[in-house]
Amino acid sequence: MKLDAWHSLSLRRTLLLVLFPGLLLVVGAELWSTWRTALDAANAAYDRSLLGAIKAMDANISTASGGLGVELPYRMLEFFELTANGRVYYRVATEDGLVEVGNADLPPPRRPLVTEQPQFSDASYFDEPVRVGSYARVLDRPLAGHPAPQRIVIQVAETLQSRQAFTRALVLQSLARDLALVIAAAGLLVLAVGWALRPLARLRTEVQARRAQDLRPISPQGIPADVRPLVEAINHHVERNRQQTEARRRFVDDASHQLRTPLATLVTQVGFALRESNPALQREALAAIKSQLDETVRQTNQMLALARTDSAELVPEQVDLDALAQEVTREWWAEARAGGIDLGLEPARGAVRVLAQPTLLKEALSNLLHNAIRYTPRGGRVTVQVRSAGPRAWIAVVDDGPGIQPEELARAGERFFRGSNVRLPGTGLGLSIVKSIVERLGGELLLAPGPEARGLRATISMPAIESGGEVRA
Amino acid sequence: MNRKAALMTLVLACAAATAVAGPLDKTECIAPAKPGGGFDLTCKLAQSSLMQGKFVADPMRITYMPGGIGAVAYNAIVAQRPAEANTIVAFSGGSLLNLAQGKFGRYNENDVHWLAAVGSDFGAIIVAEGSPLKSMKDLVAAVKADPTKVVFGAGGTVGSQDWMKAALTARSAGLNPKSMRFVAFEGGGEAITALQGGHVQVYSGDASEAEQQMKAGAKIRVLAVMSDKRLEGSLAGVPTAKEQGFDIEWPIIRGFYVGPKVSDADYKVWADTFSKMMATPEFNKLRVERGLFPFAKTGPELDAYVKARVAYYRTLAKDFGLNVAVAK
Repeated sequence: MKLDAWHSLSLRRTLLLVLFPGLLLVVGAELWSTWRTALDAANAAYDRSLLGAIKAMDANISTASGGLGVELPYRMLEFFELTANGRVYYRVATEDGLVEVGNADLPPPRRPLVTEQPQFSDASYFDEPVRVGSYARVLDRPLAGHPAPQRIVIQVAETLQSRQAFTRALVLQSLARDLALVIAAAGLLVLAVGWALRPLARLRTEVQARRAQDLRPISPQGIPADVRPLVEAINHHVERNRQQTEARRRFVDDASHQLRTPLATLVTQVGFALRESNPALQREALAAIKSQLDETVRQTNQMLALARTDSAELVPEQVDLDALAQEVTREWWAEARAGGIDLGLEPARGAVRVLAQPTLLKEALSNLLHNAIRYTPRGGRVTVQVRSAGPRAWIAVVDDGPGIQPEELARAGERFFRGSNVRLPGTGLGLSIVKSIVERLGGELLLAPGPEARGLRATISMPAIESGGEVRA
Repeated sequence: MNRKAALMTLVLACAAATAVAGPLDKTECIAPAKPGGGFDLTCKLAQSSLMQGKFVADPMRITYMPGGIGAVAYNAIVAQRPAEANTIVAFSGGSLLNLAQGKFGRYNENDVHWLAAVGSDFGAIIVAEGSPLKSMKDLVAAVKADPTKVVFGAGGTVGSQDWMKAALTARSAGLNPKSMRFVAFEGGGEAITALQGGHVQVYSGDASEAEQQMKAGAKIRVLAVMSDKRLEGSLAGVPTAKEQGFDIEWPIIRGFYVGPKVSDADYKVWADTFSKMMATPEFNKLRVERGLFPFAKTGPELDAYVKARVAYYRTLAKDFGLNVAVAK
């Protein structure tokens, strides 16, 4: 929960807050390891010279007299003190302590000595840290009076100045290098973050500078790949808003356009009916008014349907096209029979399914059938076909009515477009509702002349669903 | 009289020359250190006195067996050469101190025949000629200022008599003896060499030894002697520790012992010879030359003295918290 608060910090701050202490930790660990390595290296190197001093001391031990004498190699020790840059201590003793020469209280070796194997350990001598080298060997012959072979222990100790200087130099070098690295890394980080964030600042000024009505998508050009999905999501969101606003605007346009004329007509007709005293004529006028009202009600319903398809929430489900076509066609049989039209259905005889919202698809098919039955003359034919081919499935309504002029086919489906060859009253909204629904469902509306270049073939084409349930690509 | 005396001399000389298996034939003195120290001095006194007094026919041979301020030699005599009647071994008060602390291995003061004490010496505080230290007070001040800067050299390790002298000095100045920096040497000769080389700053050695070394040209200076009154001879100008306000006396007897299996007869020959020799003025002259003060004891008298002395050292070692050997 607390970590979430971090997410609202600026990227620059977060990166610096995480990376800078992180880098310092890494540098700390690295320095510690350098120090250990340097210490090991210093000990390896200086222990060798300590062993040299032990060997020199050993060479000066004499047991020729039966006793034990040590010619102290002072010259060598002095030389050694010079190179060791500090003080040097020594102790030569038999293991039983009978003989002890040198710095008697030099700390003993930490572990039991193995004969002729030098041992080095850190210790403290007179409150001063020292490195002690210890070495034991068996005397060539035991001291006079000693029955068994006897070991002699030689110890040389030095103060740590030169080792420490060596280690310090190495660690300081490493520290300088690491500090340079941290500073360079921090600098690069600041530069890189600043540079990476610049497109976002540009984006901000660009969006701020827009006018309220400007709902064009934001250009993802030059936007970092990480932020591009965000820009795309916002674009998508804005686009949906734009479409809804557009739909609303269209509805207002449609309503004002479509309702003004019929209402004006109705006012005129009602006025006429009121003035007419002849009951027969008055009745005729009332019939005309009813016809006008029926038409206005239908238009209003269509406009509302269109507005709904523009803005309704989509809840798609699997739809069996055969079943849907059959249901809708059955609804229109009575109307077709009244108009003397032969309405037929040619199902696919196989599961043809699409992903769609069934109510909307029914509305679209109903509209197509309404158009076909209305414009096809008495005695004509209207056929509903369900087919699938490859990845597509479709429902087509084929009639042998007047059709649409080939040059007007491209404009058919636009709002309020009406074919030049129709005389019947209409809104010019039917096809545009179908087109709107089909496009909303992810399909397309194809308009073409019917068989033998007569009538119209209106096809709703949609991506088919395979038996597994997947929409084919 | 003259003839008689000459005859006597001849008889004595013949007896010495013909006594092939006698203890005084082909004599050897073991100095349990390297040449140049107090043991060497003791052996050399016996060597020249015996020769000058014609108590031996051939000059006494001096051999050196360094190791543990006499410990190695003591072990060698008791364990390996216990019946060598013609070998005497030099000892000093330091040897007795070590015996008291059990530093001579598994042996104690009852394991040899104590033969003769030929003189006494006194502890001395010695520095290099060019040392900035001019008195005991300077020394104590320097130790108090920085104990690590003043390194004490000593013949023998912690608990040896040289250490004991330094420790007594430190104690009388109110310092902890264990805080002193200390370097052990195999005898006083080495210590004086190290002193002149600047490897140690102070050597708590012996007065006679210092006097001998100075005569031989060593560049050293004596700060104090640990005697009850000023010494005679060339060290007469050196004040005692007491004079300088430090109540320390450290006499050191020097003498000889022989192996435990040397027969009573041979032991008696040696003891009588030493008694006779030490009564001569020639011996006294040689003793004074070597800076030793009169202290002549032989036989049972010495034996009793040695044992009393070891008992005293036991209590002293106890005072300093050192290891103490159990008396048998």
